[in-house]
Amino acid sequence: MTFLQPLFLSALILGALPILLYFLMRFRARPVPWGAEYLLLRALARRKKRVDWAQVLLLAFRTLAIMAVALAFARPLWRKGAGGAAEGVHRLVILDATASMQAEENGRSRWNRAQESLQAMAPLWSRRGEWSLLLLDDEPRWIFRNRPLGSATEIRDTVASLSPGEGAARIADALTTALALEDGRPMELYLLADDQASAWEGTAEILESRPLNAAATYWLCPPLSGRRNLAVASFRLIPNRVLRGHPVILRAEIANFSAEPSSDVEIQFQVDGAIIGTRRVSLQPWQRIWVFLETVSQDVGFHAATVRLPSDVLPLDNVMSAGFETIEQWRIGVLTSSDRSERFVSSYPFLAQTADLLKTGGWNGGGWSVVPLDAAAPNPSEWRGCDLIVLDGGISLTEPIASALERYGREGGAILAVADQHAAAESWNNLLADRGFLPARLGIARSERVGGERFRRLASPWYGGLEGRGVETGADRIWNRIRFYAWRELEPSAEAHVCHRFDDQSPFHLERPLGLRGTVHLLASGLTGSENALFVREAIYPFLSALFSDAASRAQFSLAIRRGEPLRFFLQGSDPVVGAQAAGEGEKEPRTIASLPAEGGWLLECRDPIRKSGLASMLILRSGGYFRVWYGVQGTVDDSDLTPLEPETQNRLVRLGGWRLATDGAQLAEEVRRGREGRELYTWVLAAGLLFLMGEMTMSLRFA
Amino acid sequence: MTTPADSSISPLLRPETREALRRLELYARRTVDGLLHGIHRSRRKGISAEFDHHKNYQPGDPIRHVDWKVSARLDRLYVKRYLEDTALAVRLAVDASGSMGQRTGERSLYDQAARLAAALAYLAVRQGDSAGLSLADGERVQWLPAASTQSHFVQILERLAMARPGGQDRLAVALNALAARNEPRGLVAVFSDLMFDPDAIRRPMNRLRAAGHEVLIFQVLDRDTERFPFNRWVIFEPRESSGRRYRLDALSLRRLYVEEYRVWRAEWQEWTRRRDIHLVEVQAEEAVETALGLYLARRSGAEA
Repeated sequence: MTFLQPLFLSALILGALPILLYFLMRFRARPVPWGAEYLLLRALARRKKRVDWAQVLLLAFRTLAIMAVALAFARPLWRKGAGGAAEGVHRLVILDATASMQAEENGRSRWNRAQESLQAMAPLWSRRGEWSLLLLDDEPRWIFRNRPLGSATEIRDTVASLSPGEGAARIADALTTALALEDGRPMELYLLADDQASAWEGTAEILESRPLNAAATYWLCPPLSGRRNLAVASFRLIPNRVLRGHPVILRAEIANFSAEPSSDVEIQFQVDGAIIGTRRVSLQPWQRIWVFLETVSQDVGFHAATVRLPSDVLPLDNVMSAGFETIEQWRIGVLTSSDRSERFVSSYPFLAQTADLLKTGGWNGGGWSVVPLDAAAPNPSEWRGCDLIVLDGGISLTEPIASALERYGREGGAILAVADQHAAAESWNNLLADRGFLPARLGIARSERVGGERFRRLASPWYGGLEGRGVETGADRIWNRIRFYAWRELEPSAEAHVCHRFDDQSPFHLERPLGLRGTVHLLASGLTGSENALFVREAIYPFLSALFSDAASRAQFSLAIRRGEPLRFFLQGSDPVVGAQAAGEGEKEPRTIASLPAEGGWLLECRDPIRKSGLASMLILRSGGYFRVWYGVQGTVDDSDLTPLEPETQNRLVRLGGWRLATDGAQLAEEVRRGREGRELYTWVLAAGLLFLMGEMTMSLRFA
Repeated sequence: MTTPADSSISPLLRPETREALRRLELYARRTVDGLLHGIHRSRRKGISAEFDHHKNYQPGDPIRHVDWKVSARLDRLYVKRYLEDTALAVRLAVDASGSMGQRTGERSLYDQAARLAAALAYLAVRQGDSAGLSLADGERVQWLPAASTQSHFVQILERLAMARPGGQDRLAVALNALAARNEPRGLVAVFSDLMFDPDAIRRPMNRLRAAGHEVLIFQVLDRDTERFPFNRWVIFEPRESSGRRYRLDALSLRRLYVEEYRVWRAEWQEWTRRRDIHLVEVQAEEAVETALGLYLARRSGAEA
């Protein structure tokens, strides 16, 4: 039991008034000459023999009637199980700060409404209690525990200082965490969370196994009429290091988290803030599709790309970003051997010739330079100047070369191993594959007559795993027209990733990551020009460009990271870093960057992870100047399904938790006023007062 | 019959009362002893016209009372016995104790008792009976023997008018004295509120009855005493015991008091009924002639 207007409880003392008056009237007794003393004494003798219950009852009725009125003014509230006064109550607030709380309606998010509601509660809370605040983000997180309640302004400020997260934690986890704080004191539990079905999974079981021992449980569930939510599930740039003038493909995965279809949904693609194209798609319920946009970057440097769904209920999952780098030239090092200089044995002559042809053919974009690397004197330090090292059958693989390659790869280098007809399968398998370096063991090499009917094609018309639809590309990049007349069977290892396959689904291009950023690629066919139709197809340049970009890109840290992952960048060259800073989207204070010397350059790392999705950047200052690297910090769609709880489930949860439901602050305040764990009892108290009054009148009539 | 014109006694017996009483007669309910001839049956067997019984002749019996016819037939002498009519002696025992000073309206209990006594005395004297007075006030018991003269009647009125209620109750003393005098049988009329220990007064009443007196009680009642109309703290100042005060919550006491009042009346009614004593309850405000008239009508009806 508690009271909304406890000051009126002091009026209870008025209940003593009838008793006081009764005895005061004794002194105001009027004298009456009386003849019937005999009868008076007889009556007094009888009264001495028994308690005058009637008089006691009359006084009790009067006292109780007055006390009932005083109690009614104090507005008593019946609180389930609490017993204690409101002042001693511990108020535990669980505030849902997950992504779904940012669903907007009429320009205001559920988070805003929850904040306002919590602020509206401040005046209702006594200053003599304590409160704890549990924020529900990726994981339940205590903002503070058992803090003495301050003024209403202080509470409002505390609530206003909170910001929503993007996690998808579960209510069940929050309740488990909150219940651990129970210490036997009366507790009021305020849950400000949405009715997202996925968030409430497992809650019923928690409540069944351990009922809430709170004096009052309130659930503020801000309303949301529109539940149709589309989300950008993933966003990737292929490749994320691209030659100037060569195409980069923006691939976005769009998901419909709703049981209703969505039609004519606009998708915007932006690069460096400028809209470079839009797509319109229609999605069936729960459908996921990939949407592509190809663009060409002419500006060398780092860029930010963003995909956006301009109109949707949940702003957080409507946007996703990624960074990419445009470079002027790939530097390709080809391991050569002087004793294997015949034509079509090494890739070097073919690659060097195509590079020259590209340069002299009027091509205005970036290209590649091909440099021979003497395999007889393997030197990984020298190789650092290359973006990609090509190993093929043009050299005889020896132990020193294999060791140097492994060291180079594990220190962050990119290696393209071309298992052509001349590669010695036995030594490759012994020195590379069996040591866990190559992604596959080499098998039998097959060779058909060039120009004959027996050949292989690539399974996909495009490079880089662009399975799907919607990609606009020219006919010159229909790579599955390329015919391969020589190939090698590969036996991929468990760690290998198949990047591309032949049309019979046997692997053509495999990749295996080495350490944080090193990578080794393995091709099942040669790049000598003798065993395929590369020479005769116009697709040679984009094919090689895509292949090199794909291979070399993986030797740099990704510019699209998940929330909470550290920002990393490998800075080539020995020039020391003068300074570096990082910042997430909307962050005013920069984050510090650790600069660590690494083989061939510097490893820059921001160890304070960015938890807010959006664009992030790293500003790097060297003696020669500065540049900014753009990153896309990508969120998840774990909290994008806004499907509400089924009514039966919600009713069950309400019953199990004893929740008092409210949809806004006013309603919540009213619920708190009314219930404070139960009902307001002033009507009952007044009724009791009326009964006492009637009792008093009856007794008075009896005396009259 | 003339009546005194003295202003002090005139309120006791107003002309309209006298006029009303003129039509009334008081008859003794029991045989009485009296020296004078009257309208009441005497205990003595005399020579009046009303035959009673025969008895054997004894030497000394008047010869004229011998019933010769019966004696001749039975061959023995028999003497006729007759009932004798005689005058009634009405003795008024009036309580003038402090409690009789109780009043609700203009008239105190004593006022009413005195008026009743005066009216009864008037009635007796008017029809040739004698009237006496025992007035018990707080200090003493005034006694006047029964007489039927006008002057004696005036004397009774004067005594009644002069008396002021006060002091302790002495009615029992007065009745005891009356019984001790061993006077001829008559009517003893008691005028009181009976607010005392009943045993004290019932004893002399029994003695009087045993002595052959008819005892008649006029119980004068007060409205406030009956209703106890108080609902707050009251200081009761008893009229008979000076100095004692009772500061009481009248509201809570009221029910007990009223119950006790009813019991007390019922006890008196039961006690008088068992002993064939007429108990006449008269309100202090009630007209004397009405109360007396009603009672005498009841009395004569009961006798018939």
